[in-house]
Amino acid sequence: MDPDDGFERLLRGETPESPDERMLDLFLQDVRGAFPAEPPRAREAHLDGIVRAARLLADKGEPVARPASNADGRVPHASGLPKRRRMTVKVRVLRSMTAKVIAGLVVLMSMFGGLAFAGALPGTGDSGDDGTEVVVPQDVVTDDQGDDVAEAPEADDVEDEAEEPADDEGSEDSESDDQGEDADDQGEDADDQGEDADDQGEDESESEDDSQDESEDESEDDSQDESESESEDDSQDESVDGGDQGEDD
Amino acid sequence: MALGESFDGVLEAARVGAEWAWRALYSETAPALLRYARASQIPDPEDVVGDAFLRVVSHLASFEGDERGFRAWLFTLTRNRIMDEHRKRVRRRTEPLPVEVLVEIGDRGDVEVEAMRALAEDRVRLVLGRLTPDQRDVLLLRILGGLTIEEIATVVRKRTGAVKALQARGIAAVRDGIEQGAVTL
Repeated sequence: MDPDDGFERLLRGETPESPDERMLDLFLQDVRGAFPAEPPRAREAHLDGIVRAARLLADKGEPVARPASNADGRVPHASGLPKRRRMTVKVRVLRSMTAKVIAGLVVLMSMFGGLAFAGALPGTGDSGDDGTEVVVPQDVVTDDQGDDVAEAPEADDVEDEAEEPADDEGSEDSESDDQGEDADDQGEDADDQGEDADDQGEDESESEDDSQDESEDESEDDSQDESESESEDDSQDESVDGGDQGEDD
Repeated sequence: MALGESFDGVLEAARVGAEWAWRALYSETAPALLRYARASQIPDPEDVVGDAFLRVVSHLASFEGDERGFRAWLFTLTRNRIMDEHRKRVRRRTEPLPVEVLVEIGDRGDVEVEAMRALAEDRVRLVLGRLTPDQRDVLLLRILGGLTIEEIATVVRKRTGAVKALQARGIAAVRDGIEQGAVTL
């Protein structure tokens, strides 16, 4: 006999036929006795919750028994969803139009300021290609240029003169010594003088500006360009004169 | 006592929220569900039964079948809830209550009956402890739930042959346990 058959008979409530089935029957009685079929103690609480939930579904308008098909389609809502959703602005500061304009101006100013600082804008800065023509007199460049240019005061010396006028003015001999030392330096750079004429002229003019006329520092750029070209000529002349003085010395 | 031929009418009334219909369904099925939940060793079997019925309320519209099918569906929902409780218990280990507290909140019925029941429950738990979870589920659903092999197959989502095999192995394990003296019936 299949043991499952005996188990099925015992489940149906029939009497056991063998000691083995009797033992199994005792186990079934034990299981049923240990867990009797009793109504839950929370029966009323459960029923309250169940009925309330069922009525809630009915009151909400949603039928507890839903239709099997959506043949009629969904009922359109009166309000519906917004077709165009408002674009969210992530940065709250930029919500107003004024703030946006100010931000744009700040960006433009910083951009052009950076370009101006780098000298990339036309007509600004002190680059050599600013359109100013510099005329270098041909008679200045001679064979004895080293001697001529030797006495030309450098910008550093002029600055020294500007910073320490009392010492320099007090002794002309020391000044002449400085000029002699400068002459050596200048002589080494004599070959580059023609190429660096523009820069040299500017440096010298600036040195003269510092030492002689402080008010020229406050002049505008246009006038400064003109003064640069003029001062260049003056510096060349002075360099020639200085050379003569050096020869005289 | 089964609802029999009146089951369809009761079900339709329950779908529209009739209280009497829900009382009838609850009275007919809740005791079996509760004993199955208690045998599954979960902390609060009555809470599990209440949750299972709330799920029945919200999903009753999708149910189609007769009374036996409704009973099997209820056991399926209860079993799923029991499995959730087992998973929770593994994740959150709880401290056992002191004996004094258990005595305070314990049964106030017949002491002798309660003692006999406690002894029987201990013996049954010893035997069921020798089974695998699937074997235990099948035997409990057969003995306490009164479900057939086919109905259990739908509850545990296995084939009928697999359920039969689980039942046979479970019965063999119970016999071995009793014969080896693990349990004195």
